[in-house]
Amino acid sequence: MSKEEYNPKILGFLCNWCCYAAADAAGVSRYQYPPNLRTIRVMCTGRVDPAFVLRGFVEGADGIFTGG
Amino acid sequence: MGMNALIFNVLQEIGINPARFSLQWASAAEAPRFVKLITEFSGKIKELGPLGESEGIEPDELKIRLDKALAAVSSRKVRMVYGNTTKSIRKEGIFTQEYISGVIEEKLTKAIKGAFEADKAPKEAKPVSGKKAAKGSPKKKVAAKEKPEPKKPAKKAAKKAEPAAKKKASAPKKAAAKKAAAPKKGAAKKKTAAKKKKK
Amino acid sequence: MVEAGRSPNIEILTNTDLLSLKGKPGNFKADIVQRPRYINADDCTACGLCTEYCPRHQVDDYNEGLNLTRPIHIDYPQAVPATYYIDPRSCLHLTHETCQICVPVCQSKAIDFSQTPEEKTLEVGAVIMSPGFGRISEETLAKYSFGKHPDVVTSIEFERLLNPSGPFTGEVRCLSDNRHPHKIAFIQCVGSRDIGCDNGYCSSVCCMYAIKEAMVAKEHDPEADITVYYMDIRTQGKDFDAAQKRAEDKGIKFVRAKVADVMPWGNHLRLTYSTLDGKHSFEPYDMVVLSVGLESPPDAQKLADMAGFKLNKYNFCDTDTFTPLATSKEGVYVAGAFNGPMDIPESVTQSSGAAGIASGLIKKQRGKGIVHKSYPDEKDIGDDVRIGVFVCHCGINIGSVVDVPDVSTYAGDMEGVVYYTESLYSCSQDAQEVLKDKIKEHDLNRVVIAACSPRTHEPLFQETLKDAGLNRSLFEMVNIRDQCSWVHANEPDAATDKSKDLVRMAVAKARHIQPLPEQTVPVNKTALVLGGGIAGMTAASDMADQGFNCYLLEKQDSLGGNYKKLAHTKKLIEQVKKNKLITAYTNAELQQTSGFVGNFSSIITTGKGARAKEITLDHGVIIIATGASEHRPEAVLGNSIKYSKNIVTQSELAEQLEGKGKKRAPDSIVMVQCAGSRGDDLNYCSKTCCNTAVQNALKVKEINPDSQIVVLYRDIRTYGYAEDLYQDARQKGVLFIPYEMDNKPTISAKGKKLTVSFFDPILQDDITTNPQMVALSVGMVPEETDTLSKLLKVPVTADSFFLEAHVKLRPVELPVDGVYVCGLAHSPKPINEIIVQAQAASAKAAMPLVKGYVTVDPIVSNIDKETCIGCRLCTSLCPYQAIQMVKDENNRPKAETIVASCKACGICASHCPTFAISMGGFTNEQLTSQIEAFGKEITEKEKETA
Repeated sequence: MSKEEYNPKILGFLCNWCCYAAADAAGVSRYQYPPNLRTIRVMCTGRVDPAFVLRGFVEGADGIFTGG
Repeated sequence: MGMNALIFNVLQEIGINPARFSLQWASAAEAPRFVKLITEFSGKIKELGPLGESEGIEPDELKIRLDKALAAVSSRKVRMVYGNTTKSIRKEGIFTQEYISGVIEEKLTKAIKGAFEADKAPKEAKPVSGKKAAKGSPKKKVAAKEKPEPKKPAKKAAKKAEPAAKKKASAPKKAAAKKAAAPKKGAAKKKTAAKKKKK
Repeated sequence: MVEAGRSPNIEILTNTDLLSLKGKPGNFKADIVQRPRYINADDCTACGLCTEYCPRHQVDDYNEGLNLTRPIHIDYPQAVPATYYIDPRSCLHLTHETCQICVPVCQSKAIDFSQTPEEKTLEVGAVIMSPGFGRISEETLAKYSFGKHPDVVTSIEFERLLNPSGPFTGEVRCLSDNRHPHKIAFIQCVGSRDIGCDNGYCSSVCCMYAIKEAMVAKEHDPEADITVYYMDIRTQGKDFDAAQKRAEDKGIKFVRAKVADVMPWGNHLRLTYSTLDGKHSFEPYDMVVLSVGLESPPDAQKLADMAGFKLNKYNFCDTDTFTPLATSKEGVYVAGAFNGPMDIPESVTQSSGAAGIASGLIKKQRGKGIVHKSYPDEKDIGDDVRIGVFVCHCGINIGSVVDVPDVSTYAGDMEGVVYYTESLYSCSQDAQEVLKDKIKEHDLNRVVIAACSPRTHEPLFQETLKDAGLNRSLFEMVNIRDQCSWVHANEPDAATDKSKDLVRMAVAKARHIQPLPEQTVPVNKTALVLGGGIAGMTAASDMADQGFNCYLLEKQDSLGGNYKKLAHTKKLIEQVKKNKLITAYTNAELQQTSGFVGNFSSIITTGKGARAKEITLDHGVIIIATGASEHRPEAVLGNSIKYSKNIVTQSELAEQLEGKGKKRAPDSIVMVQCAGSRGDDLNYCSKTCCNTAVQNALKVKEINPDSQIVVLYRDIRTYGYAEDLYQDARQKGVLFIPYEMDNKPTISAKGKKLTVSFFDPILQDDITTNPQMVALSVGMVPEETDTLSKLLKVPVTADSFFLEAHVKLRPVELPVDGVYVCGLAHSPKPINEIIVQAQAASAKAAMPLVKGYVTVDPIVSNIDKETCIGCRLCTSLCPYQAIQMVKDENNRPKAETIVASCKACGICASHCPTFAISMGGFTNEQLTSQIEAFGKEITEKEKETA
């Protein structure tokens, strides 16, 4: 697999009040960013259990982004 | 804080580049910052390639290690230490990097290493790898995971393990009491079976 | 803002002017005119397509004219209402009757050029004026070459430059040539403390915002060389001194100097300034920031004439110290900067207070006209999972990038999905009807909508679910617009894949969603007020005015607190004693409190000696107004102090001056400011001491005009209108001489002879005097906040004042729900601010009492008692004290959520060693299946798990 074709799978946990809101605002301003992120919304990053992160890797995430 | 350190330690333990996990902050008003963060992170992961590739871990081995890691962070013992670490960082109210890494070094790292070592010892104690995640609920996994635990603490002379050991010791008793009271839950049944085996 | 926008009982009228106001308190008629927006707010989906197509440019007012926008635009994404707007000043159709490109572009047909100004009459019981502040005239700014050189900017423009949503997306650049400025100067007091532009007052906020801007600029570029030129640093607010110290530690320079002028100098700017010693210097800068003051609003006079209230000499609203939120017209109140320059926390406090008084005035009407909606009974959802998936095109916003039909059919293949469809606009009114019909037709018991953001649209769809008899929790939203089609506009395939993944994950989660009951907890409509000083009594009588019972606890044997001798206090004591709704306890102390918002129970002791008794009080809210007392430092600036007739505190001097003694105003006085404050003993500034010193000095001068008064100070902090008094004192010959902490004044006493020595920076010499009196401006210390903090589990600052839930947004609420703070227990402040804060606290405290119940969002935490091992980790980690330990039937400790206090952050769940805790709507099961769906392309496998 060449680097050009490789599209990493990235799982994201975004806080409803912070990063998720920032991501919405990014959309409103039509910023562009790579389409690899798959977001799970949580009410606060405090909710993100270490087990969720590890399960993300088990399920095949190449990277996991948590944004508060 | 605590979470970042826990994941970092666990990933390191199983040979996965901790840079694959990122904990960042951006306020609702910081759309450009979010874009920058996610673009950089995507680029970074692209560089690292698929999970395990740049780490040089074969897919089969990777799966085994990840399952182990998941079991470790789902284990009551590691979670107890994790919770206590977060608690003590909070309690002191000191959020400098040095202080936090100090506390973590002291508490978390040992617990994680311990969990892995313990996991290696009894072979049949790999409950998760076989029938993987029959149910999404981690609850079950904990129940399964508890099987080998009462044995483990005895192996370790480390002082740190002692308070945990005490609690462990009482846990099965409680479970037994519960069973007597209400032997209906699937998880409880499993526990019973596990205990019988050991005896 | 969003909260106000969502409330069904707040009607927001933007683009609206008041034409006239007639009537009396409780029955006003307000004529208003609403200017057209030319866009139907109900139809506009805020997609932004119109702005893209609009051919004309227009200066962007929101960004201070630093960049361009289009006549049809929205100021910023979070604007309320989230509706676009056409500026009639520049729209081609409205100015030249051409164009109209936007009309066909708008997919939801929201543009309506036929709109005309609409006049209406509103019937209201009370009016609150909060028109904000105006701008300092360009004439004043021109003195500093503003307008002549693009790199001289106002602090408001500089804020835009720093802001990520600003013209350079958060990069600070010179407007002249786009270079990054390396040397930046801030000039303080532009348009404030300046008789030249008729603004004698201090704008109060500029020092602090300049420090903040300087710090942010330094964060952007740690190498930046930043200097603040000032007369006095007025960081008198709570913890503001600490912020200045941080700024200094970061390398920001503060220079006490008067800036003579700023001149263009080649590519740079040349700033000339003179220091206290009379020296003139100059310094080149890349950028000069003018810390502009707050001017009265431009329509102040018009409003005053219309409503019939008075303005003060600076054209701000005129108010009295003891009724700080009332205008001179009964029933018309004022809040915010129109009531005099103030910062955000104070404005928010004022608005709460004003709303409280207004609602007290019209309490007889309470509950009338309030919108209550009724819904059909929730139907039983059974065991079968029946999911309906609706994928939205959002006009072309999603559809032009994401292959919506493909996503929709993909969803149809998933387990549990019994119905799937596409819609053009899922949020439109008719789409809601379709959604209701489909729920009924297909007996759907879970709904997944792939459209825009749940943050903006979840409430709308949940409303529809409720209308269709479904619990609102049976809903999951997929964001394929804001976080997909819009941000991957050039990668349609990848965006479609992403949409499919997200839909798959949402459906996986939806399978595990269970209806969550709406929980409400009834409220005991009684307040407990701790502290019987001005703050506590004001709060108690305001609560009583709102119609609520109130227990008032005072530690001493009589009410009144620090200001017992004021006429106002005496009046207040009478009021409180007469009021049947208020029960006052003296010699009283709180011993123990348990419970939560709406249902507290406290044990108090009251009375002395044989009469002492213990009482249990039940109440719904707590207002802390325990105050502070005068600090009496044993050493001041390194000099040990023996208080005597000649060495007194300012309050003792004030008392002496109130008396009748002939020699009550000494012939010579040295006043020492910050005696024991600002790092001398206490770490903070007590905010009021400069005012008191100046007032005392003036009083002395009034009684004894020949008295020689020297005030030794670090910064004179006579903020707001008190600046007038300071000027007055200087004109009357009071000498104000600054001292530095590395060259402190010395004070000594030998018998009756006092000796004070200090360095005079103007004469550049050491001076020694033998005054008749030394008056020490000592600060204030909070009383017993540490004990209360433990009793009520509320936090205090490093200086032992109570720490509010949010400094700006929730300034009188404490992090524990149902507990409020006001007065000196919050921070040192003058009487008018104490009263405002007390009024705000009682307004906030009245909210749950008016409502009669506390609603609990069902997303709170949920503890499985069987799995709980009673380890107490969650109770200690919970930031809101929302978990308590209870004993189960076998007497084992188990954790239990106090639903009314839970904020749903989930820390408890993610840290529970046994996964015993889960969050409503975000359960372990739901999130885990969402993660699993992230990894799995095919959903078949999960069937066995159901």
